[in-house]
Amino acid sequence: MEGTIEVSGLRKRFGQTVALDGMSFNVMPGQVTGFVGPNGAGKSTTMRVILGLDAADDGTALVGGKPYHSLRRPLNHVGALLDAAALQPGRRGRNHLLWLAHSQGLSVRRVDEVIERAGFQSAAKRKAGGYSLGMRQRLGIAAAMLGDPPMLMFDEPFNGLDPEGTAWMRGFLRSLAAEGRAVLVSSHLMSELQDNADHLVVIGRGRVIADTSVAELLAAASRDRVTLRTTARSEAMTVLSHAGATVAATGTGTLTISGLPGERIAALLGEKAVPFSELSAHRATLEEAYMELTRDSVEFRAEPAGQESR
Amino acid sequence: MTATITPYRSSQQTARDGFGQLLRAEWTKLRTVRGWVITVFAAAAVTALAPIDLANLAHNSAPVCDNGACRSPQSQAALAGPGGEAVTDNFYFLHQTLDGNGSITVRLTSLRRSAPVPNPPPGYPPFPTVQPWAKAGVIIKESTKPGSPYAAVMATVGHGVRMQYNFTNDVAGPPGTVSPSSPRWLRLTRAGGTLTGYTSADGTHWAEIGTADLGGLPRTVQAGLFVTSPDPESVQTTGGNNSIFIPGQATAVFDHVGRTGQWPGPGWSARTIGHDAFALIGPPPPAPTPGKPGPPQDHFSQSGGTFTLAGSGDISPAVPVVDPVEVSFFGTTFGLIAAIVLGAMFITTEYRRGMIRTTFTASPRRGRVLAAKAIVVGSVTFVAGLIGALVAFTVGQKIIQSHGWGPPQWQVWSLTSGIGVHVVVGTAAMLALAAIFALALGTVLRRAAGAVTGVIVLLIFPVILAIVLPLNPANWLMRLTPAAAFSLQQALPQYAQHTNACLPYNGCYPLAPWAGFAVLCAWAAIALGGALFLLRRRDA
Repeated sequence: MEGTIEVSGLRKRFGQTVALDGMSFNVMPGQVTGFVGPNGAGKSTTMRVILGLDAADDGTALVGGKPYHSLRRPLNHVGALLDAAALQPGRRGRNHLLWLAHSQGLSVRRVDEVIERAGFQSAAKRKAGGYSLGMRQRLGIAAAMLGDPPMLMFDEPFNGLDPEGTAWMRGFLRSLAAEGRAVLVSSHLMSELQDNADHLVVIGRGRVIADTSVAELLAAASRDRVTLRTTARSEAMTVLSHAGATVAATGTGTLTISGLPGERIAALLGEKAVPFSELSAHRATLEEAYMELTRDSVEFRAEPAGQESR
Repeated sequence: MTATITPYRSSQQTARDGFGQLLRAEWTKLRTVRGWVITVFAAAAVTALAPIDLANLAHNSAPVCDNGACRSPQSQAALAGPGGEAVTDNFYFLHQTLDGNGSITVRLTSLRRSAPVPNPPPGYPPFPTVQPWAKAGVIIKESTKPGSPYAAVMATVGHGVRMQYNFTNDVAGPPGTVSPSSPRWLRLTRAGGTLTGYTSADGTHWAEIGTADLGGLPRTVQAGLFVTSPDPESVQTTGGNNSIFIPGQATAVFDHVGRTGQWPGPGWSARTIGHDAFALIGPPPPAPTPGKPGPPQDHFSQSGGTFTLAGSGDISPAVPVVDPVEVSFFGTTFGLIAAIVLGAMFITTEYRRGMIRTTFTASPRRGRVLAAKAIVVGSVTFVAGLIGALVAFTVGQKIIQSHGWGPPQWQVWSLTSGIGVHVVVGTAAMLALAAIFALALGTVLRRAAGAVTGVIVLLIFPVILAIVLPLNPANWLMRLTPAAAFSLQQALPQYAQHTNACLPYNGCYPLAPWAGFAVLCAWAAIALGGALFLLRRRDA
């Protein structure tokens, strides 16, 4: 399909490890699609398979309806930033873009255009070895934009960005989608995508757990949950759990209750004369929804968040 | 929502893709890393280094003495053949004057070494018991002046019947060895400047071997019987080239001597012609050790129709031990190392940094990327090698000549001669192939250290190993390893009819120049094949 990334039934093993286990989703034009999952869930592997760098054992990945390796000037179709550090330290940033441009038959003028679009003018004439992470990210973005592609993929683009850079990146991703491009952005932190993505593909253990819009995901995660504000926490917990509800203490004076509708909770508490100041439908954060979804998929809970291992 | 979106269209026009774009991209990659550009210049500069190995020349020009016979292999007296090339013209000649056209026929019944071969000094391999190129027969020569034009029909100890003329020409006749039970009849006829050789087993049925056109041959020439034998040589290659010689002398027995044409007389005269190109110069030879015989003297005796001649020497091209062009290419080894490092780094840096993914994202057809890289790194190192080799050749030849080494024993080659072209272009091609070989191995191993070490071990290490190994394994190394390509730098021609110690140490290689280069190409091709296979199979 034009301007769409279509992933269907991808499977891949690295020795005994199953990296992709039937991964399927689409990245639609005009949207920022968040690609979320814990470290090791298969985000980078999926992106490498889409780009024809890794071969899948089974399944297909199409960009604009074609396999990547059949594209003759692929940067005009797909722009990708996989690893911003993948640079020759002795080569100037502009020359890095220059060889990429030459490989696609693009003009030197186009190189200067993307340098400007990525806000990279100041560093373009310096050697890549001296770049900060932020400069490397911007060079990678400039490289992805070279062919002015309708489809874009960014692997963990927020990693290592300062608040200013993060804000810039959000605006940039939004502007790409607004132009009608299909944008796939991976992250292992849902918070990075909270205000960014139109659509979410949540994955764990090599397969898609949820493929939904952000609004739907939040609604699903909030359903049937009630927040109770009370000074008599333990009494409330006893009463409600005896009635069959699942009760979790989420703050000094707050409980989150599921399994009982709000009216029934109010009736029970009134019956037993447990005081409460507020009873409201719970509004889940995206992070909570994500944690819930991926609870069973996190392979190494103790592992600190960081660069996804390859 | 998605249904209303119009997919974005790239503003960048998709023109035809081409291999030229890929070449340009790889060229841009190479030229934009300063370290690589410096490596290319360094490859040219060190290849140009021409410190002529004068110590080696001096070593090989020192007289070698044994049993009272001293040889000075390099400081030959100047003796030029009809073509101006260095020649050896030393034989025992029983001759008369032939006036105009005519012929001479003989039957040769015996040709063997005059005396048994002694044992060599400790550490040296045994002397060969036969000299395959010891030879005897009939010869017609312009004069008794050494180096003058001639044609001869002869039987040899190890190479059957031959017709040879003007030193460099050699035509094979029937094989086999001469003995009293299996004699050889030999005939040489002269008609103007054309000499024709014949042979027969029985004196009745004759077969033509070949003809020699010796234009400008005067009316009166010297014609008769001859015998000669090269000196057996024992070569000990441990730690360089150490050769010792013992005098070679062969004895030949002729009968049924027949002549046609005008032979004005006065009769047979016998003499030793010329002196060996390996002349007795330099320090005087030590006095013969008492009890040890000196070099055997040439001699002649006649009994009825039977003539017995004993003589030593050779009638052949003279090939110096040390190649006067190869010594100028001392720097090539270092130029090769620079080319190998560049070739390996050109791909392994991309693996090390993960940039190979960017490359294959831009150009998913990996075989074309490898080809473009090979062409770019090969072309760049070729140009560097060409410049370096041009300087090494011209400066080297100048230095050699300014040290007094000149024709005829030290041939001088111009840059535009066939030799000049194959040495200079060949050296450049060697650098290019070394870089491509390293690129291929770098693709297979994905590590610079392994690729560089691997190619150096295969391409350069054998040359060093060949210095310390015995000659036979040394020559096999020079046939089978990529180091065979060093034969491109050999300027001296090798003649089948001339036995000399051909040592890799002295820039003499067992394979012909471009055959040696083909060995390197084959290695590089196998490595490229492996690289291509793995590139397509492995994840990037």
